[in-house]
Amino acid sequence: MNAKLIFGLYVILAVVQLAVPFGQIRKYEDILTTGAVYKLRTAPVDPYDAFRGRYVALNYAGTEAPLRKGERLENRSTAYVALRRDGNGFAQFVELSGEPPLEGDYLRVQYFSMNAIGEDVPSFRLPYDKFFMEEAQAPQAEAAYRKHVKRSGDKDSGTYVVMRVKAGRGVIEELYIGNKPVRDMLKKEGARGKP
Amino acid sequence: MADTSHVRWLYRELPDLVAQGVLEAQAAERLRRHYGDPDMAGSTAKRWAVVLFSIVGAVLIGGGVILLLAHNWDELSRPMRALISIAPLALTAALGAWVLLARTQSTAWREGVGAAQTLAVGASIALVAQTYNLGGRFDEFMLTWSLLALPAAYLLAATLPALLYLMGIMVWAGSVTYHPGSSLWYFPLLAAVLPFLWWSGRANRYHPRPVLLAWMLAITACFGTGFAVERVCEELGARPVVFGGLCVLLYLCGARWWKAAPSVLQRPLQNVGALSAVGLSLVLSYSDGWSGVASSAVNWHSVSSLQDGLQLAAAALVTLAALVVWVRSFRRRVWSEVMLGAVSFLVCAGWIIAGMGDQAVISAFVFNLYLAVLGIGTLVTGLRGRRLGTVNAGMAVLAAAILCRFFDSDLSFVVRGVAFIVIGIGFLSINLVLLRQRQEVQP
Repeated sequence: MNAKLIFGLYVILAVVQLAVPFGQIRKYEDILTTGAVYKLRTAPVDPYDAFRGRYVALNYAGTEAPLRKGERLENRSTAYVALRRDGNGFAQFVELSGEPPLEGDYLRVQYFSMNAIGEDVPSFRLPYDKFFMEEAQAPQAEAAYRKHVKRSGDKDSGTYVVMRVKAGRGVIEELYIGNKPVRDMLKKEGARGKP
Repeated sequence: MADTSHVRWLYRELPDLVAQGVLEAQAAERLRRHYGDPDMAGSTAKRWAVVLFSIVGAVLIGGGVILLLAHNWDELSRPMRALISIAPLALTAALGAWVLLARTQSTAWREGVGAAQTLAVGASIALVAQTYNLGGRFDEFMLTWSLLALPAAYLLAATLPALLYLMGIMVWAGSVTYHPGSSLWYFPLLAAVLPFLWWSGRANRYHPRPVLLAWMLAITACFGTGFAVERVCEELGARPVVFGGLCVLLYLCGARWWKAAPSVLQRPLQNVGALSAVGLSLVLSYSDGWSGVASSAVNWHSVSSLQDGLQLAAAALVTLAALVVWVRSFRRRVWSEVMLGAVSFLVCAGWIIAGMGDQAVISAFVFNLYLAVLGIGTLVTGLRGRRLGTVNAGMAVLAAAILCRFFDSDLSFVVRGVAFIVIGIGFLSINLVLLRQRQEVQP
């Protein structure tokens, strides 16, 4: 192959390689600016996944929803869950389907034919299972998250994420622990700990 | 490759040998041509050391930059952090363009930049995902990374992107086994890298680059093929059939294309194929090794969709290809290939027998017999040719088969202990005898 052709192809490759992360940045910035706001209640994480280091491992409460009538999905396949907001702004999972709903907000998820305790109940996994923080803060935040979620149970722990949703994609805006943004909570706890 | 100090010694001796009439001048010249210039061999090794250091250096610097970026600096705004995540990729892309313009002939530059660019692609996607708290799906990440890295292998003629690609598509296939239609894409993805392997070995297939690629190909193909046809293998209990076929295919292809390899390390396909075939045979020498094949477990009805049909066709193709190559070895009467290649035929026969009303014991017995024949056959071939490596391989197969049976049975510790000692003495004495014979031939 001649050198000019190789160089031309390489330039195309470099553009494509750069376009992928750049396209992601544009898409997620757009979601954070124009996406619909939902709160998602979190749940305790698997204790065996305890040490994460750089992020808070998240799990979500109530990740079960009925399948759209007449539909059958392959276990672990890609699915879409339709969303509805309750009075407090928390997301309710309405229905699962292999196709995105024509109206309303929805999230792209992974479908499971059984729920977490092995019952034959359609459930799903949200892919937003990490909240990244600075390495010094992340372990403290994770410990606080675990403490609050366990202490208060699933419903009223005040531990949730605020997410922006658009066209099936979601981006976490903030993690709340004890109804406070996680960084504010850590600052407050740090100040309280000082002599 | 011959040791250069030995070559230098031989070159010092050649004039005397020619003068004393031991060797003809033409023969001496042929020897010189065969071994080449020992000084050149040294400089080739040095060049490769430079290339290796450039790859290691690029990977270390790239890794360090990624770790710095992964700190997730809270002081910077989110879009700023995201843009900085792309910076290493932009830098390595610019470096790659410069290398193609100004350093095309430098293997060290091409390999170094290729390695750094491959890391930068994965890091930029992962760091952007981290900036926006996207857990994401690992299979999608691996596939995107691998596909974006592979063209760099072709355009920069760099090895690391191709190595990463082979590893990446295997990991991807492993994470989509639940979806038979997706995992089958492993084969077209694998085909995309094969021209690079052929191209890198077309001048010298024993060169470190094609050898390294072939090692990675052999190891990842064993797992990748298993993942690609996982569902059909599971439902039909056909895992041993497909794996046996693949081992034989690797071994026989290696025996054909890497036949004159000067060292064991330069025979990647043969080594992986032979070791896997013997390992599989040892597993199948137990009745439990056929547990998934019992007629009650084979579920033909579950293979109903188009994707399942395609998986079945792919599995059958691997098995058939192995059988065809084995039959060709049979016709050419290359008995070492015929002996090891028999695994593909026996595993098919064993699968049919075990499936006919729970006859796993018969299939296991066939494989015990096969291991004994393979071990003794290899041992005899080695003894006839006075090849110590082949003798030891035959002894190792026999010893492994015997040890497996001993762990399987209820024999006392005393009997097992005596048997181990006898096998050990057998090993040592045959090796001693052969070494002595070799010393007698080369005083």
